[in-house]
Amino acid sequence: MVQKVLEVEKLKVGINDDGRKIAIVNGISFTLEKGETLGIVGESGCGKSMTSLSLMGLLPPGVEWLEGDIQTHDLHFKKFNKQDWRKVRGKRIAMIFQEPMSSLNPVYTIGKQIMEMILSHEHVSKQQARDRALEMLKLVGIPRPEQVLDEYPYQLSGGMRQRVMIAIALSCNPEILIADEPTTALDVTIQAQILELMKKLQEQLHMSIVLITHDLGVVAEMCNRVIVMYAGEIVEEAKVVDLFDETKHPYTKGLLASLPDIADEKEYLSSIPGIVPAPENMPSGCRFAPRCPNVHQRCMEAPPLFDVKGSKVKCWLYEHGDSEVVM
Amino acid sequence: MEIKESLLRVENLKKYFPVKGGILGRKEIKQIKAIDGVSFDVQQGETFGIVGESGCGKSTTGRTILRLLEPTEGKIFFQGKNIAELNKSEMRKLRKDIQIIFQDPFASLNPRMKVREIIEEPLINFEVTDRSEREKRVLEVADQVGLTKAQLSRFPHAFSGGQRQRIGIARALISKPKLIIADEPVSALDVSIQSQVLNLMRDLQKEFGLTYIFISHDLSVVKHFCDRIGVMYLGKMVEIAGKNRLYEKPLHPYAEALLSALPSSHPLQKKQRIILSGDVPSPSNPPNGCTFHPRCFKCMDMCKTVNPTLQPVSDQHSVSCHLYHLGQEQSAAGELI
Repeated sequence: MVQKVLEVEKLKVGINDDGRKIAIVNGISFTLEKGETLGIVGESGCGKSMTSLSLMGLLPPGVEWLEGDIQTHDLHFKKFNKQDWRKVRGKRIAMIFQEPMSSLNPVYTIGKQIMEMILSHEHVSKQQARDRALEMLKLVGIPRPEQVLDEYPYQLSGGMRQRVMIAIALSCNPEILIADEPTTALDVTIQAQILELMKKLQEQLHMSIVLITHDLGVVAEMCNRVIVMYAGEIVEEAKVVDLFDETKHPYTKGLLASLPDIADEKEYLSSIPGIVPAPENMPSGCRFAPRCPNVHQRCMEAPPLFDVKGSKVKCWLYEHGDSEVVM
Repeated sequence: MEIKESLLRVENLKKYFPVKGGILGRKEIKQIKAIDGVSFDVQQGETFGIVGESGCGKSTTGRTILRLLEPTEGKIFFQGKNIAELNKSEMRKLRKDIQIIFQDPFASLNPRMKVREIIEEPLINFEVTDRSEREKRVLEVADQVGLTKAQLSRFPHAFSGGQRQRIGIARALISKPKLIIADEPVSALDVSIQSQVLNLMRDLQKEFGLTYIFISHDLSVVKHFCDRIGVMYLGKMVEIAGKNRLYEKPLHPYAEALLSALPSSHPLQKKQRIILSGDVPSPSNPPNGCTFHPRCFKCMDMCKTVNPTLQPVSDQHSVSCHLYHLGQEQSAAGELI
């Protein structure tokens, strides 16, 4: 039986604008299983980063947790105060960010930043923490780790900084790693190194990873299961192979079709007309309807997530299982 | 392939940036060789792509051709004339024919100017004095890039990334240029918007017979959009070839590694990947010999001392690597890491 390490239930996150609640993440539910990599994909503004920040209790000022709960084992995040979050962050759930340049503190040495994490969660001496920090640097493949321990972030390249971020995140052996666009700021050859490292460490440490990305290539490479988000909602959830081979939601189809394909010669790319609606201006029915090629009468009403052969799709076309209506 | 006249020919172009140091910070202590002897040509009507990773000098190349940065050395022939020798006012007039589209649609538009003024400005620079004529051109160009008349009276902040990039394209297009340098024009955009902008650029190319230099780090976009591609590494062009040639069989080890690093487009497609070790060295202190040799998986002894030059291996295909200029191609095959 698969073990669930994280359950998100009807999570709603948004802005409270003078009593008018504008949801950025609108009631999403998903689970994360032990040892798997779950991808969350979507374009800018779809709510994927807000989702990941709520998993860490790091919502920015002005953004509120409106409804729903997140649960890991016996812990309910909804009820958490500051103290509780501190115990969970880094210990049970750790996160790596997109910008390895700005997420390290420029005035502390690398060693100190890794030790800080270890010392705040575990009762160990400074020397033990330092030894562990060194061990972590070796684990993530940093050359000359003894020296790097006493160096500052500016002395390292982007790829090395991302390795340090991973070392910090994994230093207390968390059960869940949230990686928010971990390779977006990196060049492709460095991206390949980092992805390879994450795969290796996952196997070694049996972590579960939530990988947030806009890059479907990275998804194909890394994930077991994928959630596609659009305008604050989950529109499709599927095993990675099904997502590519039996794409269901019109948005996912549009997204895949607009990618240039190395193997395929096309003069023009297909594209999704229009732009993502603003959160305060959401269409009342299906949120993708104004841009959807298959839009029909039914779409005036918001569809639920339908179960279709192991996948979930938020689209009226799949109301009767997989008998897709061709418009 | 028919032989067309070269619209642009770049010969041995160099751009060094001084690094100041010393007690007063005035002494030049070293140089950063951002581009170090780049040569290529661009044919009328084609799209020439320049790919490479950050810091390889691809943007500097684009800007130096337009002389937004003054070249340290080298020649730039545009329609047979060396524009590296022109003085400022001559160059200014020539920019009517060479325009640029920038990467960041948020930073490259003046937030205090209305869209109409942004698009119109080049015409004022190029001394189109008749107001109604300018107005007519602005409307014409706006229509070509898909902006409505009402949108012209708004400020840039009211637009999304994709629409801003349309404004940038309109601004580049209004002086009826022959060559447009597009510096990462779609990198800041989401994929569904990226494809809209690429399709627009292709339409415009067909309609006006434009020539593009398309600078990007995104290998799949470059493959889709360009006819011929130059791969840059640490200020040098390491390989130039037609796109199909390059993607099917890259010759330079760096190009090979770069293409193999691309994430696969399907989860079941497992790629044999060449993982390069280490990072790109600093251009202020490039390695001796071939600049790629410390990371190269096919490195030979001579690569550590002798710098290879870009030489043709066949028609339309040049590579800067000792492997191909010593008849040692066979010995280099195999050996993947």
